[in-house]
Amino acid sequence: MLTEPLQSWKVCKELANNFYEKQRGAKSEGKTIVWGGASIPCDIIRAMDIVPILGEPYGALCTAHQLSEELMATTEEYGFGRSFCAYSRNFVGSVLKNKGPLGEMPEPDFIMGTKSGCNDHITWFEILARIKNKPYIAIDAPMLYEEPGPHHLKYLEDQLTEFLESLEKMLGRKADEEKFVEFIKLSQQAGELWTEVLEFCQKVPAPLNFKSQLSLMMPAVSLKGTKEAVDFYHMLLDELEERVKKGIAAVPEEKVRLLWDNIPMWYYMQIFNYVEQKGAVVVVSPYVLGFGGGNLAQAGISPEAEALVAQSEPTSIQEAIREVAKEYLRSSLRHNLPAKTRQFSQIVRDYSVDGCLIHSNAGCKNLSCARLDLVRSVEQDTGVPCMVFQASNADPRDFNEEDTLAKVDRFLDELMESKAAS
Amino acid sequence: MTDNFENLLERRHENANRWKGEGKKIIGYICSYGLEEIVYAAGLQPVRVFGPGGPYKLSKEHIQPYYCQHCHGVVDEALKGSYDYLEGLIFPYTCEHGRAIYDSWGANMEVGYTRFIDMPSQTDLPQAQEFFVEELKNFSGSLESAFDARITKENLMASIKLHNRNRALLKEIYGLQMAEEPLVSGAEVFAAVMSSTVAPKEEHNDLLAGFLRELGEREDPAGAGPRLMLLGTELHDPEVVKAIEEAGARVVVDELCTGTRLVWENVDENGDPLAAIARRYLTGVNCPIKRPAAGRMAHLGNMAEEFKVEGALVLHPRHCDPNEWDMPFILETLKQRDIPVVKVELDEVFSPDNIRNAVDELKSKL
Repeated sequence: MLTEPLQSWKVCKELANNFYEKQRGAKSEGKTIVWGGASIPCDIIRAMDIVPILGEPYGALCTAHQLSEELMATTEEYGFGRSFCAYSRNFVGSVLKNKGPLGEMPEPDFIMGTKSGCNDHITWFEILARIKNKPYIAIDAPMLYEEPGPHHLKYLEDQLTEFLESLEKMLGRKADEEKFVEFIKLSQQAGELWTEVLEFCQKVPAPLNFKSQLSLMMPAVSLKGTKEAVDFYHMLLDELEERVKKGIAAVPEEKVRLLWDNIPMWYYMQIFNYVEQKGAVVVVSPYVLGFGGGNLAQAGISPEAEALVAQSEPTSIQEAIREVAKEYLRSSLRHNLPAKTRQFSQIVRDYSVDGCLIHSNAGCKNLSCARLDLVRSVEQDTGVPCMVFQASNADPRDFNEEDTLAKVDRFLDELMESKAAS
Repeated sequence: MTDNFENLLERRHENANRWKGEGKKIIGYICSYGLEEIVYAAGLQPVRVFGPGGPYKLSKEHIQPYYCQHCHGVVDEALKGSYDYLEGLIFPYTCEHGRAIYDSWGANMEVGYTRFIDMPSQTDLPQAQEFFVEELKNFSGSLESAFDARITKENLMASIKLHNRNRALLKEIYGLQMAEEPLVSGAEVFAAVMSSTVAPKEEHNDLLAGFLRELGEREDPAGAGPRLMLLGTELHDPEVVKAIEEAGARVVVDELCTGTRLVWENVDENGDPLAAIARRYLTGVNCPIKRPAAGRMAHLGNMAEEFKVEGALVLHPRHCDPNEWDMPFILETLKQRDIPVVKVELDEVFSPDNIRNAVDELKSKL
């Protein structure tokens, strides 16, 4: 199978470098800095010219740099346990030890927690605000197991409006309406374009593997609300179109196509090379799809509720805030088990998946909730087998390499055999 | 008298099956956020769900090992069929362990009614009260349509008063432990509180009133040893508290989801009943998953002083991450008062030896 390196890769790397460079230079440029989880409203924050430092990408970076064990030892010495979010244990350790992959972390002016499907997001940053003695702002998004209604939207809209007012007060300047609306529109566009990028992987062979997707999603997560993110995805889409036309695949051999569930083990990314050497490629993950526009069809909600949360183009600050609130609600619609099961089964069908690798992630109880029941339903719905293994996204102590690889070997052998026989 | 409370706990399934046979409809809830007042006002009997203690086998087919023992206990007990008498299960959102119970229940049990109530996690937001009231209205409406019930302001207020009376009586019993030589033991108080979650409140209130009369007649101290506070979240087994006291300590107060958190705050009996219920559940004594923690820390410190606590034992349910987050700050709060703390991890199988060792360690620090 024809394969060649992705041209856009270099640009993505530059964007990431610039992102971290801007963080490092923010203080000397007199910018306001906020620490928060990846679900804080970065579009609003950027529209106010505030520089966000995001917890999960930072936690992943600590782990990828093999700093986790050292940082988490610091977290545990401080008196914390090791059952909660593994990203946060890296981040807190980095703050306490004043050590990290990018050197000293820029000091925040305020700290922010947003519950968007994850309680740890508000606890994590409340705790840091206490340790750092900084002002703290929280936004609480509903979990939405039931049908979304006007009170869900109002709850978020009111909080986001108040949030903007508090930023205006803190910064001593009003939001520029034109600029603000533009940031929100760019954020919407980046989400849509990211979904389009991933949809290219429905093609056989897939033009991108999961490992590349994880790097390429950086603009959708960390550069939300920027023109750079939108321009980058346009460029990437052009390149993907070309690759598909020419039949350029992500990997030389695509005997079986896999779905990966959950965050990867950032300290053990070689697992993807390992499966690829055996002719298997991870082509899709609900995890990376979660940073895109999403598919409301699987949410199982009424047409009225769908209309309530449907995206539209804002023309004023208030409308733009409503769009941010709607986006929070849309992303929450995948939380309950029936919706999650429908989503997984649809992904399996849309991406012609032959088997699913389910990372039961002890480092993220939110994303791992009810996985064993989910797997049974997906196997039943689609006839596609799933392999569950336990590890952690950011705590290498929870990973058993030998056992996991042995399990992967058996699973892939069976998958290849059954595919060859069909 | 405490036999009555322990009996209620031991025979909870037997009793519930009897009520069901008498035509009562029973609704389960997962943790201290039971919204019992609303369930009762709909003419239904609320009961708290929990497991009897491990080892758990059936649950492990459905719940991963890094979810807490409460999660495994409930799912295991339900898969055995012990909860077949329930007409439904409700879950005002708290933590991911509770969510795992709720999801697994929906996937594996034949339960007619399930309801997820979107409870805010950041309880001090100005918008949280208004939002939660809307959720409670929707919840009430869903109970009314599912069970052909009518929840009026009058029966809601009557239910609030009944539940307030229960909490007030339990708080009165806790108060007796402030005495230098308490006449009631921690194990007795724990059984009284826990049994309130599996009994009709009218009956339980009568038992509590009788127990208070009996306590008034007691003369001998209930135990001896240093005065301890128990910290943690879910604890269901009275044997754990008994083991602590048998190891030579007195449990005088707790900060548990199955203890003071249940009973410390009442619902305001003035004004709109649903708004009052929302306020009580949002801003009463919260479990560590609800934020911010500052109020809880102050409350914990005040209780330690009021109850003249000499040492604290953290009963940490394994994998209960909400209980882990505040631990450094709890230790700091107690250290400021010169109160030593020992942490013991509770696994699905209760180990009296671990408890004994922890109490010995704590005593050596006093």
